[in-house]
Amino acid sequence: MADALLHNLPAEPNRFVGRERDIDDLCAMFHETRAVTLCGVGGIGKTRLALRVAAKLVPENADGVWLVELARLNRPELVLQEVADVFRLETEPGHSPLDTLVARLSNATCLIVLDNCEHLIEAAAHTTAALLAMCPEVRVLATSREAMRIPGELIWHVPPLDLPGDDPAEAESVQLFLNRARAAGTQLGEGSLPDVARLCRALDGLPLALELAAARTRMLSPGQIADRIDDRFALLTSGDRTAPARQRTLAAAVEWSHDLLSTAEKTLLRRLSVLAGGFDLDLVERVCAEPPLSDAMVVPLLGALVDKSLVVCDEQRGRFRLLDTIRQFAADRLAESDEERLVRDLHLRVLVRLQELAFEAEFVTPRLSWQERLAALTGSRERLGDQREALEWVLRSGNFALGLRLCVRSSGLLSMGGGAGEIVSWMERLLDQDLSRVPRELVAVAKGYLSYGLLARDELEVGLTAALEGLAEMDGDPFMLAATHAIAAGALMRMGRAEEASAHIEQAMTVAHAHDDQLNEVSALVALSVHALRRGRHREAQRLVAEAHAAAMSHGHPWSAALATTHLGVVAERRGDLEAASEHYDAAISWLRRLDNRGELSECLARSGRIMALRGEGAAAKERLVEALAVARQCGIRQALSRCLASLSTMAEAEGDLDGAVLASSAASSLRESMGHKVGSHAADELLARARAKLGEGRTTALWSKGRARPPLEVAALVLDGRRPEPAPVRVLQVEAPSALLTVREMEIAGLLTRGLSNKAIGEELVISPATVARHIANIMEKLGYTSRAQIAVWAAEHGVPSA
Amino acid sequence: MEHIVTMDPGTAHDERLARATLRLRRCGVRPGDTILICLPIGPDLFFAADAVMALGATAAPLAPDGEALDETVAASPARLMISDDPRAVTAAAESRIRVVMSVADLGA
Repeated sequence: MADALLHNLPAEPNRFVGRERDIDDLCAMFHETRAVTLCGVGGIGKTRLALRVAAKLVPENADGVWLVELARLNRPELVLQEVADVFRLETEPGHSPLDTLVARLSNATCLIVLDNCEHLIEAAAHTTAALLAMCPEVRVLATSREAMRIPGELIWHVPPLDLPGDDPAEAESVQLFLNRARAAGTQLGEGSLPDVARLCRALDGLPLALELAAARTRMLSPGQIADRIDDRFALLTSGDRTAPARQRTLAAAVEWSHDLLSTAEKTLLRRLSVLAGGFDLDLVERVCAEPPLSDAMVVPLLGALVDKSLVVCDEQRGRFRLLDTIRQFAADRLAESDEERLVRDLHLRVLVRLQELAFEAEFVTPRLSWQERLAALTGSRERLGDQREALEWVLRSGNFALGLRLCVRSSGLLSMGGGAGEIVSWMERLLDQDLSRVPRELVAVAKGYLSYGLLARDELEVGLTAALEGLAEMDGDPFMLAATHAIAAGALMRMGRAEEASAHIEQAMTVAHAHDDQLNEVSALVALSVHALRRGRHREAQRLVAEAHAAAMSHGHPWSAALATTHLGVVAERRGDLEAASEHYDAAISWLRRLDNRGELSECLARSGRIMALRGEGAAAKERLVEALAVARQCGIRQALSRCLASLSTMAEAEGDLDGAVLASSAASSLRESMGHKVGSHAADELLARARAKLGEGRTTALWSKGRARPPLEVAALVLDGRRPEPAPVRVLQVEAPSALLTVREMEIAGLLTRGLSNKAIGEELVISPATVARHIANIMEKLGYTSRAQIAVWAAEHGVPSA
Repeated sequence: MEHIVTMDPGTAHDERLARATLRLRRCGVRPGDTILICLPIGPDLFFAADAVMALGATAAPLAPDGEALDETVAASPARLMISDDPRAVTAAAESRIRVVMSVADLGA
């Protein structure tokens, strides 16, 4: 069940030059080594090399090659979350992301590229160590200025490009410079080779320094650049004078390139350093165009910085970014200037404004189309990186009121597409500050948001407390007031306190109704309907859910549409109308596809598949369950997987395959157990009783234990195919090593090894030196894939290789 | 049919040597490469040199207390260095050496 797209590596922005042997070596290393860290100073080309190696390894990794960029993350806990996001895993309530990730990758053959680890090296090391320990076919290629220092890691120092020697045109550094100069529109003739060679030596073969220099060849000749770079070393003002030579060379090149910029270009470059990786023009205009710059100047200035290789343009996506080394340099320049506070405050205010607008459009404004709701959600999520930067600035600058406003309007953190994500840690960090000058109303709203995140993490008691504290002081934000009542009701319901929950639902309903707040109205009506259903009042439940559905359709958010429609299906199923239930689940499935909430999509597919099976539509049911299983596996939510297996059990029994039903049910049970959930279920007990009656005690017990002994997805595949688990497979014997691979001399030595002779004794026998014997043995091991002399001896004895 | 293969206890050194060549190869050493060995004169140095030569690579010994150690390391075309010496390991960071192996990494 491999995913369709097997990597997320970006297209190379320009030609990759040199390092062929290094790439071959590194690729080969992954046969034996599971973690390699490419180390070296900034600008030496670690990332480009890693991406090149990774691209070559795609065919060897059945489950893909996945790039995780860490440069712009600023909190250790985000490392794991970023890895989970790359694998498109959703948050499982009550489970750490590591738990979900390990469960997803335990049988996967894949390579994970962790790019730019240095600032979060401990978190990267911890994640890597855990993956190596628990996922036997996962490999990690990291790039970092320093090593992770974990067991099994191979530290590989990235050297500069080869410097010019006897034939300068052949040197990697010269080739890179000429290639980039050509890209900048400069054709350099044979005559300039000596100057180019001198420049490459002055720049120590550092790729980034060479690129910055090549971008200037339209104005300056290579010789002029070399002279100026030499001068630059004397004038070096930034960085540490005791730093290693390569670091100083790079600093000199960056400073030199920067000094050639116009004042306006310098201003824009340093301002760009506040934006998170991958920014668009709109954000640049909003944040960076204050005087002395203006809106009209931004586009030409940005273009000039791209021409000078200081800003990288991703033309396909219309986005820009700064290389990490350049961004750090620009951030230092911003810190030296008198405008850091101004720019960062503006960035924060712009973010608050954009997120508030998106929040209004996504949730509050009545009667919009689902396309408009989704566009708002997508925009909000894309600003997540910038939002993190802005929140870090809040903690540094003390503008906690704006920080809280940003947090309470960020659906990227709440994420109705699944996962409660980061909201809890940001809220707790902000609520921990001195908030005496922050309006109490805002703090109360923040507590409402905190409670949402806590409940998504299954922390019922603290979540309820936060919600109730928030409710006590909230007024003036009816949307959050209604939402927090609904959150409190959800917590109470899960704690079995239905009566108290009802009171909050009623209040949520009243507030939502009074303010034309359709989103909260839908949630409240569905909650009331669930409550009615539990007490056996089917007609009331039906009336409430129909009302909820009408409100959801009018509001237009796919999340509320899916919620109401799914519940319509549940109510129909309960009153025995399977045809109606099936139609409602179909409709809910299409809403969840639009929302891309895969956890709920998988569960809904599983519900739909079960109904189809009960209606005798075997083929359609099977199709549904196959997709449900694939989606559950992909997003990593085991709760969904468990529901799929339960539906699969129903389907098997409906088709008369009682064996399959028991197998699927036992796999679901072992999955729930592995998640720490309660094991037994009423439906499973009934199934077992029927199975015992028909199949007998012994067979039922045997099937149950077989289903528990294997990975749940494997059991699912067996049941779907109507196959049964085989007894443990016979160990596949190692493929016979062909003796024809060995030379005559190597065969002789292999034979002598069966007599247990030392290298010296073999050397005496064959009249060669012990060192030559050692060399032959090394070659034999390489050819046969063995790791010791004793293995060769056993092989030779078994193949009757003569020992004299 | 059963086979009895006896191994002379005296071949333990040769076994370790065979394993060391394997580890070097896994770190990318190929015939013809130059390998810097910066170890004090003693059994480890000879063991390392034997392993390097068994792969058809060239062993370039370098005394840890020698003069101009940093410059020698920086100027060396070696892709791999075997050393436990802190000064040599630091110098390797400013050289063309890709991998530094300790005596323990070699399994000596």
